[in-house]
Amino acid sequence: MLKDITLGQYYPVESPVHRLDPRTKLVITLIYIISLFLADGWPCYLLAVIFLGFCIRTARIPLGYMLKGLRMVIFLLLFSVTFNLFLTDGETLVQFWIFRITREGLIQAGYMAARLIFLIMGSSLMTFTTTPNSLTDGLERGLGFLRVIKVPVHEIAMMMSIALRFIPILTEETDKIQKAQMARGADFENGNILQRAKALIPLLVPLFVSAFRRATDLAMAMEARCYHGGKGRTKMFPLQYHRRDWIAFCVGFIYLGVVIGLKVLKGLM
Amino acid sequence: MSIELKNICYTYAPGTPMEQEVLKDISFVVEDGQFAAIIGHTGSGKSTLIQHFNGLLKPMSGEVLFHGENIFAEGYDRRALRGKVGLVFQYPEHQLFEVDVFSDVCFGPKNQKLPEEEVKQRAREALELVGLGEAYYTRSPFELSGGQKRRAAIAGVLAMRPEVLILDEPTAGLDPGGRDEILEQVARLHKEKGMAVVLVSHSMEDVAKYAERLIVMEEGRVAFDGMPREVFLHEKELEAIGLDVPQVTKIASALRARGFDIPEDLTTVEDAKAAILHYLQAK
Repeated sequence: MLKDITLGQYYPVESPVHRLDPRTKLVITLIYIISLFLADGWPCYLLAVIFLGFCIRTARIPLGYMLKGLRMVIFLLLFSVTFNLFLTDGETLVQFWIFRITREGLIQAGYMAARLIFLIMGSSLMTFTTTPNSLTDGLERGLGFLRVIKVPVHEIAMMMSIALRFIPILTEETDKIQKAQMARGADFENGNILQRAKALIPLLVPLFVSAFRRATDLAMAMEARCYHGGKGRTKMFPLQYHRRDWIAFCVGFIYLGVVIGLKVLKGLM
Repeated sequence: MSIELKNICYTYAPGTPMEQEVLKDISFVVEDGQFAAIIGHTGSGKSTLIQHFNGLLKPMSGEVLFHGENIFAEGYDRRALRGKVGLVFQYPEHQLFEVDVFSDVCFGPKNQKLPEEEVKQRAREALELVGLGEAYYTRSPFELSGGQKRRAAIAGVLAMRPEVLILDEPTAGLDPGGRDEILEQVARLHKEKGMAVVLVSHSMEDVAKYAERLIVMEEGRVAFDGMPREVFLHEKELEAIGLDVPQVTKIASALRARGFDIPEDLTTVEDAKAAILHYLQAK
């Protein structure tokens, strides 16, 4: 039940994109987001959708799974589209009562919708193809320079990966506790806000106790294996760039270059 | 009959890459007042199965009937059902949450919307049944030892006065003394109150000693269903599934191989002792 919340929605499948270094994927996602904000005119957007489609195919993620993420933001989408549709000045196409749809409004709304959709799908692709621990590794390496200004990069990354590691465990525990209390007649569904809040006590107290217990046990286990923080600590599988990463970087930068080029061309015309 | 399962199928996480068929066409009946046991390798679907008995899980297909009524029918009160079919999860001490032991045990009957006096009476009875005296009533559940916590948690379910008591490995993590105490207590409840019991266990000896009926699960299906002494005749098949037979059954087998003419269906130490002595006296 609750276990169905897939962590960061990582989609486990074999693909060239899955195998890329997480830093590569972070940079390319960033490039893609920048390109979407630079995009101007339909050739740019066409290129953006082609690039996105290419990435999705290479990542072997089913389109249906990608579109699931859009369901969450359908409201935001409709909201911004509606605004653009009815409030942009220009050549009137349709008019009824006080509402007016202009040609420019239609185009603007279309671009806005496209930008939002591509933005969400592009960043989702990042989490679909990278495990959360991979991401923290990438961030730890990538932000390592911050150590110079005394930012405890390693410790933060360790806290993040432990927290991520425990999300499924605690989710499962919540499920178990919820079922155990339901088996004693607890009702988590009915009642007003106040009643529902009170009903959460038999769920939250054992959960907190369990979380603290696990934290204590984990700390002891880590110490028993000589963990003492980040100083002098090496990695079992250090992140290394491979040829596929350099290829991906090239593709990404070429794509960005073409988008900028198209934008400049449009400006000149 | 108390609980009847008809062709239950349950799939975990359907439609995702983690999809798994956990229960495949399970059908059986738990009779009134019967002491049944369910054994199976880890992952055979035992825990998923018992959550269907009190309606915590709904099968993808098939029916669950309590006293002949479909518990997933429109308007069926499943909360009331859970007062009659008590389920004690594995490591039940993890569900303790109240300020003191007495309040925690009152949680169940309170949810049954019983009058306060009745709630307290039931809590007192339940705590007495598990052997926790008045001295424990005001203590915090988190102060108790592991075994005491477990007994308090079980009392929490007994306080609802269920007709059927389902226990998922109630002896997990307890020392031998604690184990015997809990099982003896459950057996006493079964005999004195006529409570039907479903015991999920990994111990063949416990099952042989207490259960009238044994159901063996394997990969989501019922492999064997019958009296323990019948089921334990299938030593080779049980071992192939990753289970076993009681130690004393294996000893009896070995003795038979050396010429002792003793019955095949010996599953408890008492039975074996009687049979061996009988054989030796007859010689």
